[in-house]
Amino acid sequence: MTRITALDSLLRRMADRVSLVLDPAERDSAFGDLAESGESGSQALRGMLGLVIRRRAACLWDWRQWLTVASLTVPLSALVSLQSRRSADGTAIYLWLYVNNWDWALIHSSGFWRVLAQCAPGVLLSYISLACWSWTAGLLVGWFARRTLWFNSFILFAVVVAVGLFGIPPIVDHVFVLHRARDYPGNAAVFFVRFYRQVFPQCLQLLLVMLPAWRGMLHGRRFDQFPRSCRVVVLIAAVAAAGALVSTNLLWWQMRVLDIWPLRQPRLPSLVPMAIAGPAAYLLLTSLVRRARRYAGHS
Amino acid sequence: MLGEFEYLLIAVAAQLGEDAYGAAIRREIEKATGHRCSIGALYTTLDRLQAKGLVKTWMGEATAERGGRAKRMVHVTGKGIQAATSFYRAVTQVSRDVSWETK
Repeated sequence: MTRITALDSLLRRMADRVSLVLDPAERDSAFGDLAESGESGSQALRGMLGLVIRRRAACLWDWRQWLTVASLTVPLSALVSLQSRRSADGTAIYLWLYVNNWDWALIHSSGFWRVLAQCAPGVLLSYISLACWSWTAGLLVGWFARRTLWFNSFILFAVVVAVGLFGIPPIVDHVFVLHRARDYPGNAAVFFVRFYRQVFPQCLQLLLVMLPAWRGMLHGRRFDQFPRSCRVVVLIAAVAAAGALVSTNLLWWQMRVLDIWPLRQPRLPSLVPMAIAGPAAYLLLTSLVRRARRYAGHS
Repeated sequence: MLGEFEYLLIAVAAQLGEDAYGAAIRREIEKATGHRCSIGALYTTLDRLQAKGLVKTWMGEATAERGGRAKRMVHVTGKGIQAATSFYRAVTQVSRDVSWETK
């Protein structure tokens, strides 16, 4: 008997957890109806699950939902995934050089330290930029698709994985530069190693794309609680960061990076400050808003 | 044109009058049809009917038997009565000369 009561209460608690995604008024009246009908824990859970699924499915009929997916979620996730592929291949060469060809005698070589000092900041900055872009993509998706975040987050992660594994259709070759370090025969030794060819890009994607994007989506979902002026500033910074992300995948930017730009002047600015603009603006403004609220609470 | 579940819901809500709310409507529908009426079907249909302007809903009082939770009250609008009347007319008209006896 005690076991049955415990199971019933567990199922009721599960129904309560499931119902958290509903509108508070609807949640209240639905639980009231279930209590009045004297339904068991399993019936309550089934009823709540049915209501939540129907509510979620109803959102998919909204055309604005699909507009957000097509204009925001898919392009941003494809771009961060392309950037992640490129960063993974680019930095795999350095990793291979230093890890797979390691020799303790190198420590005493001044040339080793000089080359390391030259390449390490570039690798670090490319990782920081990638994480910032992913966070920004997550923030924009979480913000504009907060009602259907479950669906948009699924699309975002699915596109990131699909583009990471298969790339994007060749039809957009003339717009985006899809070449990766592995496409050049000179780097064949690096990508002959299975780790650099398959495992490393997936690890980078998980750590620097999926996790920051998830954090960004959670931040974006709650962003309506912040003042309008704060939201406008973060939106401008996030759009600048997203613009920089688009730029890195365009031909003209790759020509500049690979130093095949026909004219040395004018020098183009680095995209890193723009990449970190979104998260930096968010951190700065949210900490200011929280401090102002705390101050208002004390006084 | 209404769907059959929409018609059932409007008819029961009209019958219950001022006592029409989620649990009571569900109870009456289950009694009339002999089938379970899920809370998901009820609430999503209520939303659809409200969007069409056929019913009006608002949060009512909370009672002890409901664990102190509020009721979602339902009122059928004039447009809802018109829609239910035309559905009923259509069903009775097409059913008039039909013999349901199995041969």
